[in-house]
Amino acid sequence: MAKPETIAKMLPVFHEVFDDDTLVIMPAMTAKDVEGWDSLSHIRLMVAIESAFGVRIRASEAAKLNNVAELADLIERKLG
Amino acid sequence: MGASPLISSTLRELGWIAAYLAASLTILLSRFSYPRKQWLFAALNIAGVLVFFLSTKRQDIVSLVIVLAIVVAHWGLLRLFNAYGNDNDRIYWIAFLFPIALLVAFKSQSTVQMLGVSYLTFRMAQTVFELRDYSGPNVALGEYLAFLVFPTTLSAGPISPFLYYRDTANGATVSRHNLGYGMLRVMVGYIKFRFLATIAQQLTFTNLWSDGFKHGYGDFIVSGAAYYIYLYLNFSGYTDIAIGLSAVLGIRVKENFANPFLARNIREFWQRWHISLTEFVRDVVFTPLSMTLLRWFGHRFSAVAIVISAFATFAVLALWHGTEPGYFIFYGAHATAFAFNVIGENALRKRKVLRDYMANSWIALVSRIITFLFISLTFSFFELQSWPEIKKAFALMT
Repeated sequence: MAKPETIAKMLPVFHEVFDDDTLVIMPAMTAKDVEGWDSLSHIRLMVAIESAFGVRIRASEAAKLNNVAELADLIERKLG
Repeated sequence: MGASPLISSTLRELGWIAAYLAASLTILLSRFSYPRKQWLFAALNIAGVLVFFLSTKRQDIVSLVIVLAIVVAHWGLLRLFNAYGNDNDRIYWIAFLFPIALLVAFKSQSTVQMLGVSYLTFRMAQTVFELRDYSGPNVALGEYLAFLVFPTTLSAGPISPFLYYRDTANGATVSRHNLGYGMLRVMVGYIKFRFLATIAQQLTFTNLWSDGFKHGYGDFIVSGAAYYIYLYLNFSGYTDIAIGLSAVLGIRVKENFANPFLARNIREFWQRWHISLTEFVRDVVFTPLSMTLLRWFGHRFSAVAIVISAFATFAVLALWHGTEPGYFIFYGAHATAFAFNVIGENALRKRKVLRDYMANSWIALVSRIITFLFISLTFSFFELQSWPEIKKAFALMT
């Protein structure tokens, strides 16, 4: 299960990518819940997450993510 | 007086389809274990491919044997990938590129014709992509054969994911809903594919412009629109039949169209047209390339990275169709429109007016009309394909 601190560290990345400082993210949140989270902004989000956390995300991993919690889990797995 | 050739061929087709469905249901609903069912279903599917698409001529048998050999070879690579926990870069790339290399090899020669080579190899490559980091059971040969030679999706897609197949073929049941929905879908598809598409085809360049008379600019748009509508009815009709027949068996097949005529821009068009192919090239070409370029360029130049990736992806799609200039004009125009779309959306998003813009019903209507006309115009070149045909059409215009 995703740690709250991982999700908290993801928040400024979401603010930057979606250009919205009022955005709040929750584990169950999906792309449908965030305005502008389409396939193009998903790519931007993945690369921004990579540089924020110092991890490398594969395209196959990016394609299989269903919600914020899965992204946080992926980051935690990568960080070991 | 005997029945017309169309009626008798239709009845014969329906008879074979009914026999295939009955045999499939007998196997899938039997009490055999899942692996045994899949071997039997694979054997039935191979027989189905022979009946529906091939004959007992030597070249057809050779074509089928080649298909089976390729499937077995790729399954071997998948098992090797499985043995490394689906997480070995070198084996991943070998297993992924093997079907792509075969596709290129088959497309660049004309000696050996192979049935459904594009969709077969795409589904193989997609399976490797799907199984990366997958922790479920290994792929069994019978299951993989049954999936890849499933006659409903073999020759023209959709590029339906392996895991859709596994999740639904394992434990397939007959339900009134599946039967009703499936048969309705088949009927709708058959009407679109057999009848409505034929009507639309009468106004395409091939038919309307073969009278030898001069034609106005309006006819160019009419023929382009007719070809767009014809392609939609033909291809989505075929897809309806594939999805409907699979639904009768309880097997899920990916949707391939979502009202493309309602698209408000080029990006939306590609989210609604030939969806399985769009998502496949998005996942294996566009996304990896965009991510790589974004890492190099940084966020300030994200639009540049995405535009370059879009041009590369559309170039791959054009090459897949062939080397005729019409394909490059079609995909080049779409890549250019895509670039304008991405840049425009970026600019509007920063000004926070995109939501209002997209929600306005008048703007939506005008956008849909413009998108329809643009797609129709570009499909003209898709149909005309070669320079001589394009020049001939322009010479006939007054």
